[in-house]
This record gives sequence, structure tokens and C-alpha cells, in this order.
Amino acid sequence: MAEVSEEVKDATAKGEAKYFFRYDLLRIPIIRWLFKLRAYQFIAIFPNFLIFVALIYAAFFGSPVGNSNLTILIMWIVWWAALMLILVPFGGRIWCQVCPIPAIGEWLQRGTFVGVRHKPIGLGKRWPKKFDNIWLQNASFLMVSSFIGVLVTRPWVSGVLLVILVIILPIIIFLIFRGRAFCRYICPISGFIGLYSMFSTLELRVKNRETCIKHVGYKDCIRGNDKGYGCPWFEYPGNLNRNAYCGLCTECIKTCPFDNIAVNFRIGGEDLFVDPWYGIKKRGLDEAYKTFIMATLAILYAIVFAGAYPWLREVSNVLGGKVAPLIGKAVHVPFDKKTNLLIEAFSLQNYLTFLGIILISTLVIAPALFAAFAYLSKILSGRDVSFKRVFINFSYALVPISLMAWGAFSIYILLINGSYVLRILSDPFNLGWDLFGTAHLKWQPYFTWAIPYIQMAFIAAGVVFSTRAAHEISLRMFDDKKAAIRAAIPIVAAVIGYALIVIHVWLGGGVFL
Amino acid sequence: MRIGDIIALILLIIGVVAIIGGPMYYKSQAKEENVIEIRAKQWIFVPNKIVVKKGEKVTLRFTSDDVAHGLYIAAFGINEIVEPGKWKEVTFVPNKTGTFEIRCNIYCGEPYPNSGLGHWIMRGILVVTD
Repeated sequence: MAEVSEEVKDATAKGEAKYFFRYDLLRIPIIRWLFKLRAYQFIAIFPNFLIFVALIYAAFFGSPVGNSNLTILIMWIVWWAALMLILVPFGGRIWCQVCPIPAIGEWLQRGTFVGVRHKPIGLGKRWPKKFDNIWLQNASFLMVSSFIGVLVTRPWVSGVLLVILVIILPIIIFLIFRGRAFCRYICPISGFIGLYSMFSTLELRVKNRETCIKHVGYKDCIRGNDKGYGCPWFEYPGNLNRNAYCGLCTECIKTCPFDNIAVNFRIGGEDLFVDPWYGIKKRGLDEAYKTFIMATLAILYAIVFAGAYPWLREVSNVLGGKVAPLIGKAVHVPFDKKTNLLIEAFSLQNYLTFLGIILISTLVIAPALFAAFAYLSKILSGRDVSFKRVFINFSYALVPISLMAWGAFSIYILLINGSYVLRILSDPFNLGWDLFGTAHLKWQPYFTWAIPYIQMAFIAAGVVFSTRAAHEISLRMFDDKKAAIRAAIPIVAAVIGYALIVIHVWLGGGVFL
Repeated sequence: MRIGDIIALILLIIGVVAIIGGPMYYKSQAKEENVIEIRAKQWIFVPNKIVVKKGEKVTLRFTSDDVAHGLYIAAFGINEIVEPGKWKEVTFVPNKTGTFEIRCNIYCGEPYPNSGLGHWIMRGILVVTD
């Protein structure tokens, strides 16, 4: 029996993950005071709520031109880049803490903005057990992705998405189900934030698990008390050893009678390596497929938005009216001769083609390729571990590299389109204003010379982190160090293969070379 | 209702009204000042008929919703090009009555090659009355 494996088992048994550095941010008085403040969540959400109101307004009444519209530029450039480059890697689910998307639903459900009222408004049903997974989030994210070509170019389409996401869906779900079922099981953004938050430098954990175990009877963090609600994300903080489903809502910080909650800034952590504690949702195919979806779309989006494949961009433009060359028919433009007006018509052919590309690449090709590597791992390990377990557990090794691939994508869209953002800040509603003197800025990509270097740095870091993840996962799955290393080799090869594809897309696929 | 909820509700109402009402108020003010907004898109002007009074100063605020378009009114020497999402303003005093043509003076595409449609027949009218 190898020493490392024993050490890991011991650490897991004690509930102590390995860290290079860890500091409880609640030791800082202002943060502690804020997180304990009952009104904190409203204060944190309020500015973002107003920004989202502005985005919805601008989507319908601002400029219909994508690169001159506040909604498009803030949602798909600023917000997306902020999520992938800063908020998720460094803050985990910190966005969920300040997210205005579920706000209306939650305020209605609770019947209060800042108070504690334990009798929910609405039906207060439990979320169905069979949907206690993230398949719905996978589906909602794929659904949104299938419209990405028009979401980023047609403001009204993004407006419709926002109305559905911010108003209609949350109200319905919050009034039917208790807690934040919408955030945990449906929200398309929450799924990938949860996945990547496991790689982040922020975590919420209990200070001492023994305290929770000894505290028998009424669990304030689960059921709530006069200071706050029971965990709206249906987690038990005492069992948290992964960030995946902790929304950092701060309720348990307020309710814990033993002051046993810590919000740690960390370097290290083992979210990607560990099996969840008993009582917490287990690793499953739903999470594995979320990894494949995100890893594949990081490449596909790069090709669609920056690659040298105009036909793919045409296909993704499901409202363009043009029939793409791929389908092999002459270009047809819907046109009203009477009014001399170009008509934007929904192209079912384009939509089905693009949807097919997305579904097949994310749900068939990527998992199938990874399954081949996972199977090789199982063979090379020489150990009797089920293929499903090998497949699922190793899929988490793709989390760092795919996050870094999104980083490479995000830095590109941010630096290429950043001048549009500076311009729109001066005239957010397309009224001819010039608030900051930037309304007449010409489009200007920034630091284009540096983009490939930054991207390659991201990918190199991703390979390192993913290799470490593959090794650590393998150590926990197999009973000796040699078998673990043998099993990790094909997964590291898969990681390097993925990295080479990403590099090829950016450097060899016509974007920069 | 707790005092905290009342404050939160007031803040929300003020915020939402300011964000939505502000631009709407600005737009309504612009209308009062004899400013006419024209939006161009492939391949029409909206509105495509503008009625103004002779001798009364008028400002045309011109934008494009898709590609670069022109605003060309030969009778009054107006000749502007606007990029998508940007605005151009032109102020003038109509000094003659009649119906005048507004045209796009930069090629902005056509539904299919050599169609004679699209850009080639993109036009509106400016009616100047007494």
C-alpha cells in the first residue's frame, strides 16, 4: 500500500483537505460585519438588479446594432469575461451571491426583501428527487448556446432571454418550489459556475466539522432561525467539501449558533479530487457531461466567433435568413419587395444544423473520445475499478484546462471588443449622449500583439493544473501509487490533446496566423 | 412590513423609475424641440415621410440599425453618412415648400446581385408645408 494513498485517506477521513495557503476572510471585521448583516444580500444584489433592469430596457429600446447596444456589450463581453477571468477563478460562486437573476422570485417567495420570514409564499414544494442533478442546467445551457449566434448580435433576443431568466422563470419556480431550486437546478449560468467554482480560490467551509457532528438535534443552518434562512441551496455546511452547490448566500454565516463557518481564501483545496461526503449529492454523469459541454463549447465558440469558418458563423445566425453554403443551396435572402425591406426570418435549417453541431459535439463526440482515454486508464491501472467510476472521476481533470480555454476565449473578446464597451458607456441607451466623452471612439482592438501570448499562458497553466488534477484523482481511485500513475497517463494525454486543439484553433486556425 | 423592507422597496422603485423613466423623458424632450429621428435599415428609412414647416428650424437625428447608410436630401444640401449604432445630427431651415426626395447615398447592399432593388430604391420623402 502506497504512503500517499494512506495519507489521502486519512485526510479525507478527518475532513481536512490539503491547502498550500488558507485564510478565513471572516477574520476581517468589515467582511464579517457585512456577511452577518441581514440586509447584506439585498445590498449586494441591488446595484446588479438595476444594471439588469437597464440591460432589459436597452435590449428593446436601445440600439438594435449589436456592437452599439448596452445589453450585448455588457452581457456577452463584460459579464462573460468577468465571470471567466475573475469572478469564477477567484471567487467561485461569488457571482451567485450578488446575482440579480433570482431576486424577484426570491423576494416574492420570502415575502420580504431583507427580513426573515419562514413561511414561504407559494406552494413551497420540495424539488423532485429524480431531478436532483444538473441535467436540466446542462439542457438549459445548451438551449441558450444554440441561439448564441443571434444572442450576441440581436439585442432583442438577449432581451427576451433576460426577461425569461430574470422575471418569468424565477417567479414560477420560486413560487412552486422552496429555496433556490431555480439556481441549483435550472439556471444555465449556475451550472458552469458551480463546476468551475471547484477550481476557485474561495470556499465556504465549516471551521471544525466536529462541532457540527456534535451538534445534534435542530440544525440552524439547515432549517434556519430568527437570524436567517436554512440553506436555500439545500446543502448542509457541515458536509461541504466541494464548492459546487454552495451559493455563498451567507445565510449559514448568520444562522450558525457556534460561529463555525469560514469563508476561506485558499490556494489548493481538493474539490476536484474528492468524493462528496455522505449526504451530499454524489459525483455523477450530469457533472461529467457539464465538463464535456463546457470543454467543447470553449472550442466551438472560438471557431464560431473568431475562426476562419464563415459558414459556421452563418449557420449560427439563425435569424439571418441566409441559407448557409453547408446546406448546398443558393443564397436566399428573405425580402419584401413591396416595402423594399430585408426581413429577418427564423431559419429552421440553420437552427437545426447548429443545434446538431452543438449536441453531437458536446454530448456524443467529446464524451466518446474521453471514454476511450478513460477506458485505457482502466486497462493500464490493472485494477478492478468500474469503468463508470473511472470515466466520471477523471472527467474532473478537464475542469482546469477547459476553464483556461474559456479564459483564452474571454481575453480575446474583451481586448478585441473593449473599445465598443468604452463607447457604449457614454451613450448606454443610444440617445446620442456623450457622458464620458467616449461616444465617438472608433473601434480599436487593444494589445492584439499580446493576446496569443496570454492565451498560451492560460493553456499552459491549464495543462499543469489538469495534470495535477488527473494525478490526484487517480491517487484516490486506485490503491497504489504506480497504478495511479499508469492510469493517469492517458488522461494527461487527453488533456494535452485538448490543449493542442485549443492552440490550433487560436494559432493555427486562422485567428492569428 | 419592516422598516428595512420599506427602505428596500423605495430604493427599488426609485432605481427602476430612474433607469426606465430617464431615457423616456429625454426622448420626449427631444420631440418637443422639433427634433426628428430617422432610423435607416436595409433598405428603408423610418419614418419614410417627414413633414416640416417652411421657415421653422428643424434638426434631423439620423442613425442606422444595421450597416452604414447615407442621408441625402439634395434640395437642402444635406449629405451625411452614418455608421451603424451611431448618430448624426443635421439642423437646417427649410426655405421652400414642396416634396423632396431623401436617398441613401452609400451603397448598403441589395437582396441579390444586379437586382436594382435594396439600396437602389431606398428612399423617403421630405414634405415642406407653409
